[in-house]
Amino acid sequence: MPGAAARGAVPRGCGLTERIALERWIPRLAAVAGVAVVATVGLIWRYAPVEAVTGLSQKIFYFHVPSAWAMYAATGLCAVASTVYLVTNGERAEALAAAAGSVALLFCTVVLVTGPIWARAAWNVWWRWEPRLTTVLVLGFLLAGHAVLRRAAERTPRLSRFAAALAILALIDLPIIHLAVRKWRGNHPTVLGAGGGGVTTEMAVTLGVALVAFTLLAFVLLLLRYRLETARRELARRLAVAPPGNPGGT
Amino acid sequence: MSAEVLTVAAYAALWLVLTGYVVRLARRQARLEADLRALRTSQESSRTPSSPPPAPAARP
Repeated sequence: MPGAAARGAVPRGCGLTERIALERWIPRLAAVAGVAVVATVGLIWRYAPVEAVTGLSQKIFYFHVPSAWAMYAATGLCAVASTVYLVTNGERAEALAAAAGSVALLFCTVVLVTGPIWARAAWNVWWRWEPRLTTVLVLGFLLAGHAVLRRAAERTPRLSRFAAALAILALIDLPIIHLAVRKWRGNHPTVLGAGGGGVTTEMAVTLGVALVAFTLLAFVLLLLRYRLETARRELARRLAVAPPGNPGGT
Repeated sequence: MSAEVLTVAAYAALWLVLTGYVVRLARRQARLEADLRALRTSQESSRTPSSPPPAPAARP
């Protein structure tokens, strides 16, 4: 039987107050995130200039970079929540780790899909085995493995600890991705920070708004996924205590 | 393939991935809530006064 009750030590549950707060805040935050995303799309097409060298395909950068940022943040949160879960066996931490891992995998998918499309326009190839691309692909595999283990942990709760360990391993990959361009001199462009350049004020403003919009979007998706996880756990808990022969408890 | 086509493809991919994720989340949430409602109803109906009371403990 899945869920907390099936475990040896019953973890602390997700409370009613928390669920009420989620129901209250998710629609408001989703509305704000929606407005921010629409504003970002408007800025990308109406305000940001077309870049002189790479042309229109440079506009992919305005959602490729924020997706990468959301991927970093969600992976970091997943690893922190997984560490807390390993230490405390808390159900909230486990649910948060599952939600953050799912959101991280989503944005990693966006990065791994939009990156090669940009590469085709800029480099005339879909993929290069260069340091940053390879390390992001490794992160994608780690996050996919985490998702598979989480899914399996719904039936075999012991696997939750393996999933948590994998999330911590994914965290180790983040600084490697970030430093890959500087350390191993790959082809991936560095637009922001040391060595970057060629960004006008309009481009910087658009990217700034896009970063805020994608952060909000990732946060809303995290809350939605967390709500799903708490509902799944409540169902598992109720099924675990349902009397045999009950139609809902089989 | 032109830059315009690739840019549109990238945007389409972004919205497809995001929309697919949200739709999948909404479906799973709706299914879970329906299961939870059914389970709550069946658990509450098993506790209604019309249901037979538990058998008394055997007297010595």
